[in-house]
Amino acid sequence: MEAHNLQEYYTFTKGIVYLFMGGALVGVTLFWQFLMGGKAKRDENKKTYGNHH
Amino acid sequence: MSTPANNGPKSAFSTFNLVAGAIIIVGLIITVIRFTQGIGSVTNLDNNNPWGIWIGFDLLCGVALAAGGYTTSAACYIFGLKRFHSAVRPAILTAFLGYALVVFALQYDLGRPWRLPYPIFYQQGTTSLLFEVGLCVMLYLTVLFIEFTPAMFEWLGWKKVRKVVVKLTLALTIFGVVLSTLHQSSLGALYTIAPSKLHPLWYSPYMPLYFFVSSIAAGMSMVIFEGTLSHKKMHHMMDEEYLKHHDGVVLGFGKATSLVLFGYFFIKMIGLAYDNNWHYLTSGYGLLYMTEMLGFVALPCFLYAVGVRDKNLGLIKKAAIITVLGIVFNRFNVSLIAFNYHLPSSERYFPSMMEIGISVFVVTIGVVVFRFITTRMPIFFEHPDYKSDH
Repeated sequence: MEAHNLQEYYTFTKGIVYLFMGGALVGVTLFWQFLMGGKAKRDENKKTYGNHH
Repeated sequence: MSTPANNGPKSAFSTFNLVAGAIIIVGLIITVIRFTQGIGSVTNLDNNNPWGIWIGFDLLCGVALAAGGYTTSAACYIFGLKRFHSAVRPAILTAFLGYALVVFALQYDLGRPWRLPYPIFYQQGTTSLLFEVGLCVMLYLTVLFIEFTPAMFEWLGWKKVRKVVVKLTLALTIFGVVLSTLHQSSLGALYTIAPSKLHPLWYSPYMPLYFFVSSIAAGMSMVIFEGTLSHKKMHHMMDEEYLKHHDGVVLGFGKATSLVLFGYFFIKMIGLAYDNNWHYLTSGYGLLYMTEMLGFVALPCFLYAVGVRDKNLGLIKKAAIITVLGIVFNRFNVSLIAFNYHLPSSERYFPSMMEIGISVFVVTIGVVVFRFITTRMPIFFEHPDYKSDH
């Protein structure tokens, strides 16, 4: 990207950062779900809700 | 004094003792050369590179890897995660030895040990980041020593003094966290003074934040790594309580480290975007940067997450080793490899064999002292007289 003045430069860099922040909001949520899931959680759910099925 | 009953007599000429002894003898010889012939006789340092491996490895890596002390005690005493209690003493001991060796190794760079108290008590440079680092390290080393003393007092049988120190635990933990936040970030801030010397991919106004956040991941990974090594070599010193909680500590720390590494990766990318340094990624240094970010941050982050999900302790331990190596790689990049990047290769710094020898000597002393203390004091086991205290 070629910036001709400071405003263009900051518009570009801040734009990219805002995109990253948006990605982080989605990414952290998905990562949190991935991290908190798994074997342990599945076993726990089975223990808690096993009798209802 | 109490020593575990299963700590039977062993040969003084074990492989460990022989190797450690040889390293210490070589280290002592280099020490004599350094303090009699001057710093130039043992190092490749010059005016362009006044800080070498003794700062890059012994200090920057040592301080980051000793961060397990404040992270573990904060988790246990401030956040109330009592299931990590069994990890507190080994972590505090590792941190105390880590910081003590940082100060010890610093003497090789400074050269006049008797002047060590000068910047604090005699001639303060209150506008200098180094003064802040020195003050914090001095105070935190004192805090760590006091936090470690209950184990020593239990060993010595000094019940009354121990009782007084135990009452200070929460205050010391809070003080330790504050001091760590300050000096871990200040070590990163030191490099903000050299924007023209440090490669733009590593230089950022956010370096204090990077150093602090990465120290949390490094500290927790070091607790897992050190716990794994101790589990193999010091298993006979561990009581049932410690062994019962070991897997839980590894899983809990793995989960936390994964989240911290995820956050660290994002803030590094945001720094890259703010400074618009994307074009450097296609250069040789870009390859180095990508190796660091993908191989030593993103990869262990993913391995930790998968390990925690699948309760795969082996995978978590592998991720811990990669993270520990990653923090060393990062501190080397900042202080040595990407520093003075514009100089021709003939003027670039590479440590001499004697510099490397001193670093190996310092690490060996740490391992020997750790072994000495853990085989005598209640670090991996609860002293029978104080079991009701926890």
